[in-house]
Amino acid sequence: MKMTYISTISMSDGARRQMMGQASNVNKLQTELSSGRKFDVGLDLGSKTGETVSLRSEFEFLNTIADTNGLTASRLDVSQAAMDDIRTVAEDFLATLVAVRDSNGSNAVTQTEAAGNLELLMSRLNTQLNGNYLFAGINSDVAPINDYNDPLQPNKVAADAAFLGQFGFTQADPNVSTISGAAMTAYLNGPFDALFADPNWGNDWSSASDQTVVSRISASEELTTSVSANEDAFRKLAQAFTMMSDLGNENLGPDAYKAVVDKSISLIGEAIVGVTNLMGSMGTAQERVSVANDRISIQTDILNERINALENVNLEETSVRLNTAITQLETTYAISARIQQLSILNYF
Amino acid sequence: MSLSVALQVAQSALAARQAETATTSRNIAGAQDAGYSRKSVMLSSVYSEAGQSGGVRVEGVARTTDSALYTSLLTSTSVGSSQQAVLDGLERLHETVGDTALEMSPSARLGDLKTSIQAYAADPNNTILAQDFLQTAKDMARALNEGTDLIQSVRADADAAIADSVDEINQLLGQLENLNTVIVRGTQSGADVTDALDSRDQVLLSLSEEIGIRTLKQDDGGMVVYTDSGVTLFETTARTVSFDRTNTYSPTTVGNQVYIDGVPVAGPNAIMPITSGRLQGLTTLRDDVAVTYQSQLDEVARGLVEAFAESDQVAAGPDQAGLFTYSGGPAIPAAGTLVVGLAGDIQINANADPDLGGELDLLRDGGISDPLDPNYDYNPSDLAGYSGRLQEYLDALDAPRVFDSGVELDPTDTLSGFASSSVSWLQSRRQTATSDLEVQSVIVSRTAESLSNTTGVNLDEEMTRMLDIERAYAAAAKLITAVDSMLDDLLAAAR
Repeated sequence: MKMTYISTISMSDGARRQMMGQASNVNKLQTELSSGRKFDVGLDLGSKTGETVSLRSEFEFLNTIADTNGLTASRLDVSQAAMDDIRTVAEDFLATLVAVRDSNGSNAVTQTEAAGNLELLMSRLNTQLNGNYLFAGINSDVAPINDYNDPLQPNKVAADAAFLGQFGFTQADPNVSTISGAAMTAYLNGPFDALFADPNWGNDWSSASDQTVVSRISASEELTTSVSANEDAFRKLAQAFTMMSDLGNENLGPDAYKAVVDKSISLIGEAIVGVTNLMGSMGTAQERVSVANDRISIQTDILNERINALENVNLEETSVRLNTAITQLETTYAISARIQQLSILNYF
Repeated sequence: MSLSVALQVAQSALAARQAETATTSRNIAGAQDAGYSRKSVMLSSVYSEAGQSGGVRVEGVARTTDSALYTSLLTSTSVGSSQQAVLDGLERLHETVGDTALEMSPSARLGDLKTSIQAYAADPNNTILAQDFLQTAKDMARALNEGTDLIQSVRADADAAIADSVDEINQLLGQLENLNTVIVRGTQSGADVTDALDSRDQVLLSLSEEIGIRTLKQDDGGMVVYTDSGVTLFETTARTVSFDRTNTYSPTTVGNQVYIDGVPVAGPNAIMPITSGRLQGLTTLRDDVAVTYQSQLDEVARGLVEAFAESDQVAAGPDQAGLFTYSGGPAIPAAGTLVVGLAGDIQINANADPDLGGELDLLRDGGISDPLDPNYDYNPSDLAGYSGRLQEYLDALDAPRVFDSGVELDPTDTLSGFASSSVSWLQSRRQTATSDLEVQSVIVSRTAESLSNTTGVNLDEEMTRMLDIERAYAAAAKLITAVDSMLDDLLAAAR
């Protein structure tokens, strides 16, 4: 017959071991309850730890994209505002030109307006945001358009030289009034056109790059988010404003003046269409950025939920388990204290 | 004459009770000693040739044993201490990952790197963002360098612990030899060797923590000890266990073997490899776990060099190591092939680091491998808004590439995916080792408890036995008094 036998040492050892285990369990649960996260995430998740690490990276990455999308959106907004200004003055000027086309004596008025418009065009194309010139393409640290009003700038120098070369006198010369309509048309369609075409445009007027800025607006989506000052529409506007302001317009004869106005009207008309198209494509980009932002916010929510599901503990469950563990530990204390007092010696 | 027989029997009873008292007090003294086994007095009846009873005789002292339980305690202790050694190492390797919220693992650093590239790409003209990109790249390289240092220090520590373990084994074998001699001699002369047997069991238990053993009892009370792979550790005399320590470890260092009597039993290419014990756990850690983890980091480093490599933009020149380079640069390491120790060697190219005389703009423009070679310049006119190269970096980090298939991870993965599966590998090893050890420690403690319950001392039993002995002693003494008075009466009658 097997007799139940227990050694004194295993009795006390057992109680000790129980207490150690339960105390460490209480400690673990207490940490989980106060932090809300698992005591040792890596140990608990094992092979799923890689998932939470990449989810966290992904989460950070998407948040950064959301930040950079903010920058992209403001870049687009500012570009739109600048182009809107340009289009407005172009439309107003077109209206003026159509009105004055057949009336002499308005030369001085249109000249002043054209000079002002050229000023505005240059300043808008040189718009800066956060240290970057928006219309400079990727050559964003250099102002794209040279100042025509500065007599030392290459665009002004080239225009003066072309005029002098064609007619033999400068724009300020009273002889300007002798230029015939045909001669002016020939000049406008010849040397003057060439000033605003490649390669002269790039050499004299603009240092912008044709390559536009590309931004990543989601994990896998890239988007063109800038317009280059080299776009035809801007060239035509620059050409029209220049010819209306700096061909000695005050003194031009009626035929020559009419040739200039006609050419301007057709250039501005084309330019307005071009600017509107550019604004349209930027508008599409704005729309895509906003859609991408919405998607990113949904994605980050999902990622966040998944990370929490992997790493966090259920607080209610943990608190119940902690209570149970504490009760258990207290019971163990009480029982072991009583067992320790048990000795046959007390009954001798 | 019967009265004298009665006296003689009573005397023998007194002697037996005294022996039992001595044994009981030995038991009480050893009650709190884990290795002490319960002793009892063996008695036999004495009778004459005529069959007349002559009382009891003390034959000797016996100890309670259970060799089956004892053997399984030895085995489970060996397995447990082997698992403990591996787990301790894994816990230290876990320092390279830490809590996921700290985001300090190589994988998390890779995420940081991506984030800072994205921020920089959105504003490539911004020097602060370029600095930030450079800094996270440095952090990335440093995480890999520090990871390598840590892994190698884990290996060096394991090597030192192996040396300690070997010393311990030799010392225990020396003790075993002394005890075994005492036991063999005592058994032959019939002396009480029970305490020596207890001590020998304890020594073997300590030995089983260091190395997996099997024991065989000999007829003369001696013991032969083999390793669990069958190499003789002890037979009459102790065999020498030897090991040459390696003080410093680099990723290419190969640790030495442990020899018993000239036979390699642990370490690389052991002929008769032991399968349990701390020694086995430590060699597994040193030669397997840590080496595999190192090679995973090496592959992450190689992936980085590859992802950031620059290609010839003009002619068909070879790709060259860009932002991340190593001592073998500017050549790119062979695709899909492990370069041992690359993680410790990877560094930021000085050409891109202003602190080392480099040019920060190269981060955006390319040409980090050789700023003087225009063929590797991605942005020859140095346009400030150029972000094409930065976008390429982002694409490269998420592009599938081929890794060495010998590092226990999926060989075709993106760099980010590969790095995070390395984290998974480590944590799953740690999780498995922890739960295995939990189970094993329950087995060990249950076995030890069962053994203690079979062979240990219960104070209550000893105390009640003490009462019995007292009673019996009093009875025998009373008997002697009775016989004495009877003899007195007889002598008085005869006078």
